[in-house]
Amino acid sequence: MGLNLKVNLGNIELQNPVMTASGTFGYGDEFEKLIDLNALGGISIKGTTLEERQGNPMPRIIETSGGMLNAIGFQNVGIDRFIKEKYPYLKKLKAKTFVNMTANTVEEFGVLAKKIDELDQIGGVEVNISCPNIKAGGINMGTDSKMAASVVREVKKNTSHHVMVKLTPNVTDIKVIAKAVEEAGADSISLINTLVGMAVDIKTRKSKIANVISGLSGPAVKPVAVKLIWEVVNTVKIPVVGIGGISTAEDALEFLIVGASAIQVGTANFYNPRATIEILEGLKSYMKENKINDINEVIGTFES
Amino acid sequence: MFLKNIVVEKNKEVKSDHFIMSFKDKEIAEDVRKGQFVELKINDGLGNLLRKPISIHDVYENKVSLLYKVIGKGTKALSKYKKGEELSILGPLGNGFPNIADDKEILLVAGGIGFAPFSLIMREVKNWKLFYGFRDASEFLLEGATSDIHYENEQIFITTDNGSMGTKGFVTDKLEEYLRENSQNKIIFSCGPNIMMKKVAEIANQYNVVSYLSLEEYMGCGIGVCAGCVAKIKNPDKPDGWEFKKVCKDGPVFRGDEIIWD
Ligand SMILES: Cc1cc2nc3c(=O)[nH]c(=O)nc-3n(C[C@H](O)[C@H](O)[C@H](O)COP(=O)(O)OP(=O)(O)OC[C@H]3O[C@@H](n4cnc5c(N)ncnc54)[C@H](O)[C@@H]3O)c2cc1C
Ligand SMILES: Cc1cc2nc3c(=O)[nH]c(=O)nc-3n(C[C@H](O)[C@H](O)[C@H](O)COP(=O)(O)O)c2cc1C
Repeated sequence: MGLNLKVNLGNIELQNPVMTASGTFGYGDEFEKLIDLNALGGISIKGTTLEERQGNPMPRIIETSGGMLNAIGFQNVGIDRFIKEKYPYLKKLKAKTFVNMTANTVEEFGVLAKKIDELDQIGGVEVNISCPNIKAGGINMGTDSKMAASVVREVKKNTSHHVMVKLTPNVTDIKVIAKAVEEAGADSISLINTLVGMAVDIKTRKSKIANVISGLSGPAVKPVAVKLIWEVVNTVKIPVVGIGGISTAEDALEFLIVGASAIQVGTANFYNPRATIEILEGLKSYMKENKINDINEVIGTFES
Repeated sequence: MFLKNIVVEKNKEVKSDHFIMSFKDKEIAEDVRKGQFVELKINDGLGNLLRKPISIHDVYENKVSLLYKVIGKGTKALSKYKKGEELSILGPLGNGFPNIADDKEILLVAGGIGFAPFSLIMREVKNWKLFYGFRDASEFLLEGATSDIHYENEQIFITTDNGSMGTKGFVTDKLEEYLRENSQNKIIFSCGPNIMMKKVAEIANQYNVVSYLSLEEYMGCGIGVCAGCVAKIKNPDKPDGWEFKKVCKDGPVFRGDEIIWD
């Protein structure tokens, strides 16, 4: 009997639970020579803003023990060029495209959502709410439940697509934010975005990253991510997509077992461009070894 | 571009802290363009997580070689690889140096380990001169690393920081002296520390010579998806007259007169 890897995120179906994480997979085409993009469940594109952005000064990344820090500053082509130059390629793929977007005001999120609403062949939008609100003293919208909710309402108002809301782990209580975005109408939640961090050059006593504050990702963050996802799964009814340090099928299974309906692979794409495909193969082997026909029989089976 | 495991054939110290690693691979050997690089996944169990960029030093028949200097944990671990061990390699990557018509003389300007990508050019192109600066005679890589390439002594200008070989001083001064004599029909290819290349770009500009510089930046992915390694490149179509281009994908080689140095 064939294995079933299809999973549902509310109203949408993915051919399997393996997605790529925003900012680590470009617009997909960069990987076309390295893996079969049609084998993936979904692709979340580089965080897109209303206008094209050049991003932060250099240096922007540095390796750390078991991970890396980055402060790219959303260098991206902007939504209009995305639609014109990148979307035609992505829409032909079997992997569902999630248009990851970010903005600095609630209104701008709405404008972006409206533009994305016109794309008929995408899986949904992924709303990255961890960014400063320039109209509210620069407070990070992902850390304030009221602001997070208003972003989600604004996006929902402007698109009928599936709205996945990506949460930052840099909060005192993730449950409060998760609940707020669910009540505001989110169709699913993805987490975690990077953990804020810093690295110092002991010779110059300056930051190793020009922006000083940067985001930690990679294997080092995985245990933190698993715990936060478990908390969110136990708080909301909408599906949850697990992200954070996933580089093998074993890693992915931890997330599925605690209740993630799908997973996203980020930093691992850099050091192992075939990570997603290997994870997919590994999930199948695990299912065969354990006589599981349907991946949904794994999801949320954590024994506490 | 390929992603594969290669089998190390040789990994030998040629000068103190400088190693040559070689392996056989027909596909990579045939695909390579001058000035391209590969990304190596170095496994030492100690958290060398990201791949490390290393230039393609030389290709001879199906043998590809890399020339690298041990400067940190990744290159240290790389130097421990033994003959017969496997290494995951991604590449060749980047755009490399352009092809130049034979009637132009290519002035290769290298600083230290920046010499690495030039062997392939010296092997394939006839009309070149090498301006090569390094700290101390013990770091001269032309013998040991590239000993089988034929050249005349007049083709090579050497400077060292301490005068232990060639002329004491900056390699860019030698370059300028040479161009002052005759700057007709020349083109510059350079690789080395940023301060040296900035000077090369200035000299090129002063003598109206086109230059191509291979930039070095800390890299995340090597294929242009992370935007971790960028350089400010002139672009009149952008609001500020420049844009951040990806060194790994749009480079590492850029025209000297298009780079904005901060
Ligand atoms: C396109 C390209 C081609 C290259 N080709 C060669 C080559 O042919 N031979 C060769 O020996 N090296 C080459 N390099 C440089 C090489 O990639 C670095 O030396 C290597 O990644 C250092 O890794 P590490 O783990 O040993 O050092 P780390 O332990 O990571 O660092 C040691 C020290 O060096 C600094 N450092 C590390 N990498 C860089 C960097 N890229 N730019 C500036 N500072 C850095 C760190 O901040 C630290 O202070 C190339 C780089 C690029 C971008
Ligand atoms: C270089 C880099 C760029 C990123 N850019 C974005 C982005 O534009 N939008 C976003 O929502 N997340 C971005 N992320 C976060 C990742 O999508 C992911 O949430 C995080 O890295 C944790 O997963 P990982 O450990 O598997 O990388 C970026 C991460 C990295 C490493």
